[in-house]
Amino acid sequence: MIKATQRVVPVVLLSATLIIVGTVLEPSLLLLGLALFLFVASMKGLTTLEYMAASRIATNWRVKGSVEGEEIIVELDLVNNSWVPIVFAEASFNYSPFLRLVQGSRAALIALPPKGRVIYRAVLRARTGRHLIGPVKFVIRDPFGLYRSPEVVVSHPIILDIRPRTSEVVVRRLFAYTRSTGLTKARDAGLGVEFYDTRDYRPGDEIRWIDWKKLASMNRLVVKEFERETFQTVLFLVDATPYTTQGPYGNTPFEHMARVVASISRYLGKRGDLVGLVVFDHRKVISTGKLYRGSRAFYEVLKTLSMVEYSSEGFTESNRAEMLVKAFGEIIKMLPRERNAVFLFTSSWSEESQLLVKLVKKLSALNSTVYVVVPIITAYEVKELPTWARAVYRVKAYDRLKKDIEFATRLRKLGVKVVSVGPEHIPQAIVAVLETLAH
Amino acid sequence: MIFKKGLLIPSFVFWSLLFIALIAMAEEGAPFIGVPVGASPLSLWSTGTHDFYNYISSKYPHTMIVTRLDELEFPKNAKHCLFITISPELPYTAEESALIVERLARCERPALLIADEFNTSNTLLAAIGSSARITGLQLFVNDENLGLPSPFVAATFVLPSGEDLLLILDRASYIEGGAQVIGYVDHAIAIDTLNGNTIPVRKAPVAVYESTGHFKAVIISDGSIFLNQVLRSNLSNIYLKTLAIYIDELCEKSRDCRIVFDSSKYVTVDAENLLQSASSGQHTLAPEDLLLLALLYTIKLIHPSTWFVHVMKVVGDYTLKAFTAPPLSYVSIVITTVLLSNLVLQRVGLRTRDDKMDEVREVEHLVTGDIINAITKGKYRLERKDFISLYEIVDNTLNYALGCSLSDPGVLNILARYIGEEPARRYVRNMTRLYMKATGRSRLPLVISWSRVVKKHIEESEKIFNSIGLTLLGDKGPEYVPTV
Repeated sequence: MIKATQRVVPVVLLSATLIIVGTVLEPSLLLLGLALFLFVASMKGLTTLEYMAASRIATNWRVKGSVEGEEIIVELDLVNNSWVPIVFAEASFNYSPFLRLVQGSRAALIALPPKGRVIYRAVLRARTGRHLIGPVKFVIRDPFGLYRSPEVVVSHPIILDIRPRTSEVVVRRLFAYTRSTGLTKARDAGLGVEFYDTRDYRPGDEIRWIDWKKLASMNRLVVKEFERETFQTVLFLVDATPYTTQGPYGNTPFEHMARVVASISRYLGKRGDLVGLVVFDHRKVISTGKLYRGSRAFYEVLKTLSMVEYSSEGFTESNRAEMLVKAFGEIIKMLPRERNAVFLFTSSWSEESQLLVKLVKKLSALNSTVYVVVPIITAYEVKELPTWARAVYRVKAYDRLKKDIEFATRLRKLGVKVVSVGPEHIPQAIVAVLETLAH
Repeated sequence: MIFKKGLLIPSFVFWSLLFIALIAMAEEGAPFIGVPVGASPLSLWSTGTHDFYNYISSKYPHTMIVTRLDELEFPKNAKHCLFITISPELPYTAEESALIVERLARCERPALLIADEFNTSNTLLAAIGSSARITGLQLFVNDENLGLPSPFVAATFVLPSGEDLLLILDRASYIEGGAQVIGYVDHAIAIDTLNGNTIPVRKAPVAVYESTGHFKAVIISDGSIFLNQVLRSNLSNIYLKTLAIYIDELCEKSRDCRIVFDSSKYVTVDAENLLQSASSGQHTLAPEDLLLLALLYTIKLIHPSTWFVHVMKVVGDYTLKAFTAPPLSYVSIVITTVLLSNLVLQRVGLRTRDDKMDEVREVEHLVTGDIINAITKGKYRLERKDFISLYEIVDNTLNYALGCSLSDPGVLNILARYIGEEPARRYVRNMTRLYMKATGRSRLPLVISWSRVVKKHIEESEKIFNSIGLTLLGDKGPEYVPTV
């Protein structure tokens, strides 16, 4: 359990020398040698006691922040319930390697007095998805580093689900865009936000829609009518495998797509459209389960996107294909009988693209209009470079850009509808598609 | 289930205990190698009676020897019990005799066989109520050859069958009393060894039988006929036959007869002293006795008290010299220190490297990470294929923005509107010629460094792009050329 370090050797050698010389030549050194030996033994005892106390530390996590881009403030209370002081504890604060530590330290030397409490604080930059915070591990040493304990897990990890940020600007632009292009107007009277006309009051009409001006001027009881909005069903299928979670921190294709989906879901939810989401990462498929409307839709989409887990370990395209098949299965479960729009957000494929085409066609046969949205990878990664280097990067990475474009072209040739634009244009491109479908 | 091989007792503990034991034994001293002298049934010497004991115990399985009278016990339901004492050297006290009588009385038919040259057993005889007494007057005969009295007297023993046997006795005594004489010496001289008086005697009793009501006893005034040396001689059969008859008589031939040989009345002599006295002629010992004594003495020799202290002294002297006399002392100290340290470090337990704990390594994977790394570190070279890429980028972008590519004839006019005629012509011509060169369709122009060429044309292309509202350096570059 408690092991001696390399520092013990010289101390023991010195002790042995003093004992031998003390025994044979100079008796006064014998006591010193024995004292040194006892000292070494007592350090082991001390380390053992501290290790036992460390094993019984009580912990409590507090986390503030749950939206991407924010700072997540993580605080961990460490309480030493024993009477043994923990003097030299090397602490290691672990967290998901996909997060970035902004403030605080990954390692620390902690002293916990008996019945004492220490608060460990760290700040991380939030990133969409599910992340583990912890475990926190200790290694105990004596003050002279003669002994070292094995690692003890003081606090087990907690799960943090981070929601994507919606862009108010994007949502407003979408509303403005659709208004300006007349895309959301159904030209029918009904429930909506835009004034359409007035008519005579009928029993059952809401009092708040009475046109009081007309009542005052014409002594006529009339109510305002608004434009009927067209409702439709929109399903999003998001690829959150390592193929899309690679890229600059906070700006990987997945994170960007998550923001887009979240923003569009909010927009669609306000319009009253039915919205559903299926996401697949490297090991699981998560979905909203069914279609929702309004703010509930927005909430469910955010919740689902926040459950994505990141991975960087060996994940091949055939693994990706397996997950895609499962995800399509989930989509099919949620499909209503009416016409639907399905947007599949994924990056370019190489070997398994035929499978993708096959699944898209199958979905199309089920009364769905399917669009594959392929973000251009280089558009995300160029932002990692300073301005002066971007031109060279674009030249050097042109092959990658061509690969994404060729993938989009190949899909189109096989009869698949593709949206392949720069990241900034994706929301408008999708809404334009939606509005076209609505009419 | 995994079993681990381990020591039940560590070696260190074992050797420490052994050393402590040796010290304790050395302090305790050598054991007393006691050799019973006289006619003890434990004695294997020629003057012992161990052979007789063996012979009797082969016939009567319940035969034992007691070395202390308080060990004398007979089972309560025993029918036949026999107490044997042969030439006791120490007298029986009244208490001892009473104890023997009391123990024997537990049996239904108690008996005694007493062989004694002197009056040592008379108290016991009195205790059982016998009238026989051994006087101590020794019987001699005149040896005509030597002309001196000889203690070897011929005694006639009358067996229960009526048969007479002649046995030679050595220093037999005259017995007084007793109910029935079963052995006598025909003509002898009784000599009082105290005052030297001699009395001629006829038919002197040397063996009597008496039954005192509860007790039966056979008293023989000579123990020599029981000795190992006699029973090992070529006349052993006669003696054994006689003695066995008397035992059978006393035990009434019952195999369950409890027979006890008394060995409490003999002196024990130290083997070493015995050897010394034998070598000085004080004692005469047979060769086999000497061999046995020598073997016993070896036990004393190997005992730690004999050699341990001397060995420790020698070791101590040499050790002191090794640690105090330079330069040997330095070497000794170093070696001992290393050995002791090694021992302690083994006890201290496994050692481990005291490394820092592993920390989280934040990962950021970029699809074009190798390109980004190379550019930011300045470890890149622009080559021919990079010019081709640049040409295609420009071509696609102009196609999107202006509706014509670099290879179109009208591109000059369109570009001239943005950057002027001469720069437009120069740019289009250079790009086209270099593209032909890069793709291998032309040998000219000569290019010394593609890196310099690409860099230059990147700069020029950026100017063109800026003039039409696009860029190669901004956030939104050629990747934003739509392909919907």
